Amino acid sequence: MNPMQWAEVAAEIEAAVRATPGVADLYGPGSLMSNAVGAGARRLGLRDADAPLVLVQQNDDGTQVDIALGVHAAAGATVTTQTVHRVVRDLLAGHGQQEARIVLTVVHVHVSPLATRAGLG
Amino acid sequence: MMPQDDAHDPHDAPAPRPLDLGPEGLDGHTIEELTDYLEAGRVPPDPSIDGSPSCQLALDALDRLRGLTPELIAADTAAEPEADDSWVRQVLGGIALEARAGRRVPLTSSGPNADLGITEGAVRGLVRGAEDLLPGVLVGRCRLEGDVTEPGAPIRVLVDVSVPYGEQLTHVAEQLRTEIAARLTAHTTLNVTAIDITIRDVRIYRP
Repeated sequence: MNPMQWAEVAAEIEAAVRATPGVADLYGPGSLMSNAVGAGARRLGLRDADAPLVLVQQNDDGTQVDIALGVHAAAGATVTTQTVHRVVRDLLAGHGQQEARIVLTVVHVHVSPLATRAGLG
Repeated sequence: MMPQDDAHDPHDAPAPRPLDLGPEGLDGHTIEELTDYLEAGRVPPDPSIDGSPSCQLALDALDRLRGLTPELIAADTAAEPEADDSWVRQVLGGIALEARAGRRVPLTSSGPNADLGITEGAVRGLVRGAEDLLPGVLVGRCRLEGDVTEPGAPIRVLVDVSVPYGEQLTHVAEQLRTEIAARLTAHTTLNVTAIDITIRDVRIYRP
C-alpha cells in the first residue's frame, strides 16, 4: 500500500472511529505528550489544523495505527476502546492489513451532567 | 483559610499572581488563559485549546470551579495576602499540574495486536470529577501511587480535598471514596487497593 492509499485508509478509519458509539472526539496522537516545541509551534499557529488524527506508521515490525480519543463517560473507556478496536481491526482487515497493530489511548473522558447524576461520569 | 474580614474590601486584594507553572503541561497555555477562554464561552474557538486533551481536562475542572464567585476568590486572597498556599491557588495549581497526560495506563485488550490504554491525566480527571457529587467539595490534589503501567499492579489513590464548614467529614470522605471507586471501575482496569481521602482544608465559605 503506498502512502496515498494509507492516507485514504487513515481517513476511513477516522470516520469509522468518530461514528463508533461512545467516542466523543479524536485528538492528534502527538497530544499524548506535552511537547514544549510543539506547544510553541501551536501558539505560533504553525500546527497544521488538517493534520490527520489517525497516525499510521510503518516500520520493520509492520504497520501500527495510533489513535488518541475522547470518550463519553456513560459509555466507559474500557468498553469503548474495545469497540473501537474491533471497528478498526475489521476495517484494516478489509484492506488486507489483518496484522496491523492498533494502539488506542483514551486521553479525555467527557462527563455530561446526566452521566454525573447517574454516577457514571 | 481565614474567616472573611467584613471590614476588608475584597476589591482591595492584590491581584493573584499567575501560577508558577510551565506552559508545557497545558500545551502552551496558562491556567489564566483557559479561565478567560471558559468565561468567554469558548468562543471564538481556539483549535490549540480544543484539540488539547490537557486543556480539556483543565477546562473540565475549571468549569466545576465556576460556582466560586470572583468575590470569594478575592476574599480568599485578601484573607491571606502573603500566603503561597491559599486553597484557591492549591486547587488551580492541582488542576494545571494534573491535566498533563502523565503515564499510559493499560486497559484490557481484546486481541494480540491491540494495545489499549488511558492516560494518567484522563484518570486523574475522572477522580477529580467525583467532586461533582458533593457541592462545595473541591479536590486539590490527586495522585496515583504505584506502577500504573503494569497491569494488575496494586494502586493507591491519594486525594486531597477542601470542604465547606458544616459538612460531616467522615460522610464526605466515604461518599467521595465510593464515587471514585465507581468511576475507576467503569473506566479502567486498575487494581485499586486503597483510596485515601485527606481533608486538607475546611472553608468558611460555601460556593
